[in-house]
Amino acid sequence: MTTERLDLPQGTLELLILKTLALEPRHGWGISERIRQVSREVLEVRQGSLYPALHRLERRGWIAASWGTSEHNRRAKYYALTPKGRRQLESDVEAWRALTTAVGHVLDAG
Amino acid sequence: MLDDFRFRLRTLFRRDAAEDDLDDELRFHLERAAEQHEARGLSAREARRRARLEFGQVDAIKDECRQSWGIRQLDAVHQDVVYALRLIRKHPALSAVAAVSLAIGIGLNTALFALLDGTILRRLPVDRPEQLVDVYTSDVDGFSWYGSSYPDYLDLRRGTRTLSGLVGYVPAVGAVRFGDRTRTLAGEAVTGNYFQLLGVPAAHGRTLRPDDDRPGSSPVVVISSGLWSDLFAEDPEVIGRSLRIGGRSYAIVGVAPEGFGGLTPPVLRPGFWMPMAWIDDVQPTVMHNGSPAPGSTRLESRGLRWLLVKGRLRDGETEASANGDLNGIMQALEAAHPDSNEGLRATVIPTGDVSTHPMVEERLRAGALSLLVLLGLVLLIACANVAGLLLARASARRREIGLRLAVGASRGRLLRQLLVESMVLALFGVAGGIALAWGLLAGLGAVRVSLLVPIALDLSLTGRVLALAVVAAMGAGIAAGLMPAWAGTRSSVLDALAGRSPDWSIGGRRWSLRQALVALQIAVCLMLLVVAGLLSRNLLVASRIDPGFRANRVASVTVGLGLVGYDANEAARFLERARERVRELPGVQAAAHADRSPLSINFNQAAIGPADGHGLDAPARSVETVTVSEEYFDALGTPMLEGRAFDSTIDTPESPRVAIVNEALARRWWAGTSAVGRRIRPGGAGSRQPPVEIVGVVRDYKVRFLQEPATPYVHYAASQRPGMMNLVPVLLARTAGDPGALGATMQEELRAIDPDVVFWQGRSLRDNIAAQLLPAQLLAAMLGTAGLVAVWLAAIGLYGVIAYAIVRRTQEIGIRMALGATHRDVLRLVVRQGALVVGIGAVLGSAAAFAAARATAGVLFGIDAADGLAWGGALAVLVAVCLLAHAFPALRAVRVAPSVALRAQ
Repeated sequence: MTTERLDLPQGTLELLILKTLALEPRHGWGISERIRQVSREVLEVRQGSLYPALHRLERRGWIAASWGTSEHNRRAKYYALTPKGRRQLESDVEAWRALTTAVGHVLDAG
Repeated sequence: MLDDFRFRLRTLFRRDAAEDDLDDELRFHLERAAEQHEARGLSAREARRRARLEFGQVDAIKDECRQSWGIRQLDAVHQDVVYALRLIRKHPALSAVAAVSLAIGIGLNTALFALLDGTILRRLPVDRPEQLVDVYTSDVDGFSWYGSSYPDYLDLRRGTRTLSGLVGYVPAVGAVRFGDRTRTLAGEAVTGNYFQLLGVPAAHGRTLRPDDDRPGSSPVVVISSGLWSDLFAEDPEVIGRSLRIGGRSYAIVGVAPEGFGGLTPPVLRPGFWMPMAWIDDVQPTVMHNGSPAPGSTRLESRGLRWLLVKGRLRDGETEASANGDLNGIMQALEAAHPDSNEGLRATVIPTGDVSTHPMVEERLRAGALSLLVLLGLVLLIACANVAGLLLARASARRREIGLRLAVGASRGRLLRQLLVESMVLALFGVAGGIALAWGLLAGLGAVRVSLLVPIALDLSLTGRVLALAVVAAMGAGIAAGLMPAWAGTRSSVLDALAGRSPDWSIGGRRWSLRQALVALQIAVCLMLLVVAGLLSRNLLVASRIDPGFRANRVASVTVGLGLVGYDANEAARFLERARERVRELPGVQAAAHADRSPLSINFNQAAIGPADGHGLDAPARSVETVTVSEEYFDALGTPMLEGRAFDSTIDTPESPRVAIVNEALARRWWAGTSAVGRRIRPGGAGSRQPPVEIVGVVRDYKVRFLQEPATPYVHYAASQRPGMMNLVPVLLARTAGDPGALGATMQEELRAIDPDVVFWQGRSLRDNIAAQLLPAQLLAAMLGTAGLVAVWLAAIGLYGVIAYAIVRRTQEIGIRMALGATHRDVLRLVVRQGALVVGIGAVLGSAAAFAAARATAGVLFGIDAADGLAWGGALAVLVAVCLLAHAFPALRAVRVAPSVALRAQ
């Protein structure tokens, strides 16, 4: 376990989930592991809070759920990005970039 | 948005599966996490602990997930519904009473609305119906509403400035060939501009055009979509085929749109529309006296007012301006044709104000309105019952509700739960109500009315009617639920926990909402019963009226001779043969024919005045006339008072014309002296027609309506006018046996003479009377049912109040009995519970009933609005029912054993 952890800003978890699903459908555990690995273990999502977020995204129609068989031959619920979700991801990434750039400018201005 | 809604609904409906899925999903996560920790060398137990720790509170997470499903509000309502259903199962009897109360209230109202919707609320399915006006011509005395004559109609159409056009139409019953059988079918004869002016397009082919209505054009017809499917199986190639009406083939040029039922009153749905030019071919009439040019057809005669007329107002014109405009024309016509048009004026009424005819409209609307109000009251009583039920439950649950309020349940939440409960009851009520309405309408549709022509009442539960039923039920549910909900949650937490009820005080006594409701119910009941009683008494009086003939002994068969191509002379020969054959039938005491039968809707008025034979005549009045054969009075069983009956050997076409009048006419013109030997002149003073000598006076009998006062009536001898016989005559025969059976035998005899003849409905004069009494019977039956249902409902409410009060005072009764109170004392206590409620209800009800009775006075004839029997009967029923409602709680109270009662709490 790393020592330093960052709390996720509001709404960021959704963005991370969408991004994680952009490559391929995954189940909840897979998403949680992927986020941890890719963020070099800096970002750790409190595992439980992932699920309400997943269900919220499903309700909005950005991701779709289906039951499949996992790598260990067990029944697991897989989430996949819908076309609507993909559009959402693009606009969210753009907004995020714009935001971080702007915040960066302000901070750099010293 | 749509995704969201779909997701919520799906989740709501597969709620259990969603929960299972959630469990599986989280378990999978925890297991994988534990496996990972195990792989890193932790013990299985420690690995599971670590996984749960990293995951967080599983139950809290689950709750968050459920929240993300967005179904919590729906979920809560779902719970309320489940809870309401559980309560209903727990009190099945009370709940059934409430639901049945509502079902009855809603069913009766729905059926009534369907009835009104199909009849007087009907808007004509034509282009801009609000522009249409009815045009009548009024008589000298101004109250009778006549149609127009065809020449007058043409002049009005030519001369009007305010109307963009006028159409003439008349119901025409034709003998239509259906395969190998001939049947009578209602249709309309219309002027050529009819469809154009109304703005009704054809569903197939074309509509009628002005060209079709010119003399000499070939016979064409437009058929209704109903006939198209009945007779032609919706054959798309029907245009160009033909319809045989009265022996002539009419080329079908078009099919009218579905839902267009012509302009005649809604019960007569025309099967065909034919050009007016052919009216005499389908329904020939022969001129009677009174027509200025004898022998002319009805399209030519200005004196015959048979044509119904509607017009369309031009933009910006009003009923008043049209009235002025048409009266100008009528005055010009009066000057030009004083013989036929003296004193005639036009009256214009918006078509929307008249569903049938101005003469019956007022009564019809008053009847419909009173029915609507009364059935509305039944629904109100049903609501009061449901409210009473919920109130009883709410007070039983006051502690529970208080407790829930105390632990922080919101009032809104509790209100919602109580409302959901009444809405669930209302749903049961609306389902039952619609079923009841459907049954009632089916029953009403199955009633075979013996009218002249088959009627087709369009009674169906349209979307509009169903929507109204649902709205009424939901309204009732809310009304019935809101009051108890308010009362139930109004109490303060402390009151409720202490078991105190939120009563209030009237006149020193504490009144609960339930008692007030029951008093209201009793008031409404009394009113319904009184009005129903008045109407039934009214009906009884009407059915006891002596019609002046032997109604139960006279068979009457109406034959549509003109419909199957008979001319007047052929008809006269047919009738003589028919009369001879009928006289030979076993049991027949006398047989006759006439051009109309008493109490049928076949009216016939003509202007007649007294004459001295030397030109000193008095002005004419409209008098009912009839042309009859020998033995007519004998067949009716109506005695001659003076003079002689007709005799075909004396009264020949060549002999001086004679008439037999009734007492009423003799009294009017020759009071105190004998009318025999006097003369009357058809057409009155100035008429060129020869005077007619009166040879006999007959006792008065009812001619048009059972309840009419003695009406002047003139009988002419058929044997003197063989060429003038009406072509829809009636054969009358008096028998010692059943007239209906004789009527059927007579029809067979007539078919033996000519297999093609068609008959009108009804086989005896008894049928004519039954048809006249039917509307009043229906009204009285509906009100009586409503009244009895209302009493039953109120009795249940009353019983509930008393029983509830007794249960609440069981302890007190026990103490009193232990201290030596007798059964009588206890009974007095019980009666006091109900007596005040009943008393106040009865006082209020009497006042309301008196007002209602005065309002109904317009519909009553022969009895007083303060009729003792009706009032007495209503009060007796009410008292009996109230006693019954007291009996059971009273029995229970006197059986209370003090020892049990003292332990009651």
